[in-house]
Amino acid sequence: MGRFGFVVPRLIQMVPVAIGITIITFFLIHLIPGDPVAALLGNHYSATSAHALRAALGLDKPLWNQYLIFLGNLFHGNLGDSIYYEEPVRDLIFSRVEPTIWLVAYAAVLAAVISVPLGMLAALKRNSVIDQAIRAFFLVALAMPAFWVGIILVLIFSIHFTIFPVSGFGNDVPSHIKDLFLPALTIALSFGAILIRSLRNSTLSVLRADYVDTARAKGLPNRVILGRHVLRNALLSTVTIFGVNIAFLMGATVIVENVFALGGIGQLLVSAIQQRDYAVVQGITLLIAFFVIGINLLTDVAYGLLDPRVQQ
Amino acid sequence: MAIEAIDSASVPLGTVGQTTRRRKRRVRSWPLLIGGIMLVLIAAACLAAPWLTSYDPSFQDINNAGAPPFSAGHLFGTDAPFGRDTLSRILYGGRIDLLIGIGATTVTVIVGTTVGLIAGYFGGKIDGILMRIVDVFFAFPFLVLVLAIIAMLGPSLLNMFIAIWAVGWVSYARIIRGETLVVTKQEFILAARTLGYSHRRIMIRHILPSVISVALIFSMADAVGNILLGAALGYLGLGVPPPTPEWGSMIADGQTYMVTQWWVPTLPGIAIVLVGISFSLIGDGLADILRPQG
Repeated sequence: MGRFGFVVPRLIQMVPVAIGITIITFFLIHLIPGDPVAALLGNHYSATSAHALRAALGLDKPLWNQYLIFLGNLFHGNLGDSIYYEEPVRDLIFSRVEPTIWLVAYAAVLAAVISVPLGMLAALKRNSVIDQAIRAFFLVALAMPAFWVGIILVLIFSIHFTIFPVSGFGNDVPSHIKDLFLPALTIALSFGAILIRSLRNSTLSVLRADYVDTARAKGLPNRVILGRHVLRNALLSTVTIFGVNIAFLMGATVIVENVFALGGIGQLLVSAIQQRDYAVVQGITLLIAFFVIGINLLTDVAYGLLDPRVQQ
Repeated sequence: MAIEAIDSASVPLGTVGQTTRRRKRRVRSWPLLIGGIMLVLIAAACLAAPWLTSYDPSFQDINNAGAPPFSAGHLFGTDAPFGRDTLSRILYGGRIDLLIGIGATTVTVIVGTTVGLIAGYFGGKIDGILMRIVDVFFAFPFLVLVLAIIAMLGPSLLNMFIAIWAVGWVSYARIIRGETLVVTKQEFILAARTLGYSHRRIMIRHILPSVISVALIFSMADAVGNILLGAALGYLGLGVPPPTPEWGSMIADGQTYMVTQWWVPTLPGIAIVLVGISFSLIGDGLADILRPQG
């Protein structure tokens, strides 16, 4: 089996979830009240185009047959056509994916920078003033709507101090990093708060572990115990915590993209809803869900590689 | 909200006896008290809006548009470009947001708890199928799936509820299923089975009382999430249609004029934060009281 042997059962577990995702996104179109073909075609509706689409989606066939056609199209990378932009949904999504990927990665990094030190500090100084302050931050951060935090940050740092732009994504890497700072920070404040609490709990459980007692009994200095034993094991759990919460991160990204008009997938999704561009909504929903389970798998693999105990 | 689910599910619940004794010993919990008072005050203010403010939330006073807070007759100022009273809009808007928080959460608690009880109690194939369905729902970000369902059904308050009901139950199903698995193995359940009680009676009378506290604690965090979600949908223009005031759509309207009227988007956000904090405090307080160890 080798080093990556532990990946195989995880991949097998993923199959039913992936199939489930395609089933749910397939059924979305059937939630549209009335004739889905009329809805999918919008202004382009005509007797001939309706007939062609009905045949292409197999809407005259039984449901399971329609699903197989949907799945077949999916395997060929065909997500349908956007009625508003008049181009394939796949091309549309790929042309908008860059700002979204930047934002997700940037927010994840900022959240890690905020939460790893604070989460561990809260656990090490349990029930101290620092711990209470961090918990209060968590309480407030989770009650703040992301779109509102974005606006407040803009009010302070773009309008009052004019350090960062109000919206937009920039054209090159340095301007991406500058322009996306406020959007990424907006997401990182709430995402980081969740990570802090999980990290605090995981660090507390590491502190209670037998090997920490052993290290203490051996008379190792506190510094070595924290650095070599506690920190490394707690950091390891950060990987898992990140994977578990990736769906939350994606949801926040969709909202925040709209606050800052970044022109990514989240903004495309919301404008597609307003334009009744159903195929685009279906395509983005499917893609985001696959992205989430993909990241889940990656974090599992990363955890397995970092922690040899998993590979056995 | 997947995170919350895992966090709460990992905390084991003690036996029933312990829980009751604990409840008698520590009835008072500061977070519960503070959060409860905050929420009651906010809810009462929203319900008593007609008596607290003389302005109709949709009344436009163009000559007085963009008046700052503490100006004559307008404690929180007015919005631009319509000159509507911000305090009045926040109070009336709160009715919608609180309704979303409570209405959406109540149904998901009931549905999710029922599914979780059935999965955990019967186990086997039923459990396998139900939990695979739950796994699939967890692959979608909550917001994205709710958005997709609203996109298909069309934006309205009712469809917002339908979308949240359709997705929100899964967290409870996962939590309650885990708790039920533990409780079902205990002796008093075996005893009830031996006595020949029906499955329904055992689930409702014997298992539910032991597992419901976890669902209640989680439901407070979930209510915060649902209020934020409802406000986000309002902000994105997919919630209650204007001119009905709602906190999220007020923030969206205010964003356009934030350079000159900062208070219009800021104040409804503070209202959301206060409601969120009070629900979280109630949740923390319930956890203190109902869980055997802190």
